[in-house]
Amino acid sequence: MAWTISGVRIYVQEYGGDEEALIARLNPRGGGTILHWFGYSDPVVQIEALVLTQSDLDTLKTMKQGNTAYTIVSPEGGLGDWYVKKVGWSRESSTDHVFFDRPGVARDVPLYRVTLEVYPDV
Amino acid sequence: MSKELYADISGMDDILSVSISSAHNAATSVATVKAKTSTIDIGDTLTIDLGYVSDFDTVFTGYVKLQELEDSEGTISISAQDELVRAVDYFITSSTPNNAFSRTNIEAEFLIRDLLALAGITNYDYDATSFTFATEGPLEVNLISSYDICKQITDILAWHLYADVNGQIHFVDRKPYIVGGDTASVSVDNTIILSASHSFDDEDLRNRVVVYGKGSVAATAQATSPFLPAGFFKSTVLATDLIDNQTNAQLAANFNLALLNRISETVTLQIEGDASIFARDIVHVEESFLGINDNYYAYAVEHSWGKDGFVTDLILVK
Repeated sequence: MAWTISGVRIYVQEYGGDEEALIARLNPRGGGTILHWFGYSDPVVQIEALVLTQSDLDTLKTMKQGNTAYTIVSPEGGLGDWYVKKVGWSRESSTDHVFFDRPGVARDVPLYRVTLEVYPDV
Repeated sequence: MSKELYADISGMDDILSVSISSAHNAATSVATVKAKTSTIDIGDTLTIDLGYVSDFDTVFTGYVKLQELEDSEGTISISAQDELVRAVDYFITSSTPNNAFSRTNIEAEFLIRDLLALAGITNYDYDATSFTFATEGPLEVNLISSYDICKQITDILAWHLYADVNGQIHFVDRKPYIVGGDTASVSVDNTIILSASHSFDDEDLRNRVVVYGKGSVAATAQATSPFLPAGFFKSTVLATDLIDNQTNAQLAANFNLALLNRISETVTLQIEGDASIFARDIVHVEESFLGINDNYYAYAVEHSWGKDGFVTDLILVK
């Protein structure tokens, strides 16, 4: 299997995230720290990937609109549904590129570096 | 070691924040809750248990008065007030002007009992006042809320009316400061005090009380104050038709002079949250930086619970 998000092929360069517990720190006048555990937050995941063609990029951009979660698939299997919080993009300065699993795509189509910030659908 | 926060609220899940405010001079305690899910509705009974997984208490019971759905956050906020809100909401209105609520020769504690009963409140506990109203003719009550008329009665005697956390109403001789015989039910020290301040002021000091009763009934009580220039009197007036004889007028003046002829000593604390502390408790404070080591009356208590932790703000008076 290859990396996709809602069926759009993304060539993942980095995949990682942050997860944290919600712990309040209180400092009494006598010194020290009192910890209050409130709960924990669900992960915030950042994906850095290459995206081929303008239409694939445009499709990714629309994913931030609307209250919809999208399925992410990795080479190891499905990762569940995720909300796209942020789409960052920049065009790579490449004029000739070949992707082994996109034989029908012209070699000079736009190539973008995209960063996605996604939240899990819980 | 970390304490895991705990909140259990009937009809609400995924609690985000809770705030409970109660004060000696407030008609009711108020609870404000924000959550993700809720099945409760206006008028429903609300019970709030708050604290830590290993140590929590019931901090509020009352009725939901306000519900707000926040679309952008996907949250629900509700506001509730304790049992006495029923007396606040109940406006005494006789069906005809000539058929008003009326009583004669009735002690204060029974007059309040009957006025609360108009609002459907019967879970009522009282101390004996030996103060009788309507000795010179019937006392009629109309076009006023049950709470407001009860408040007038408590003010005449300088007594106190409040609802406890279980919803029982109390009418007692509880002054908003430390009196002889008060013993602390809880202690706080610098292991849990997060911030503290200590102040004195004469803003509420009154050393002359004038009572205007029904008709020509009037009385005055005054005393010199060591905190005011000799011969200087700060006056307050208690004007009410509920007082219909000279004896009661003088008693009311004397009661309120004893209540008001003092300076205010206030300690304001924020402590790690303690759900067992309520307004009207006696709190022993030991705070070495300010040199405090004494008992204080909890005039106001506010519990705040959420992702920033659980803290309790106290206004304590002596």
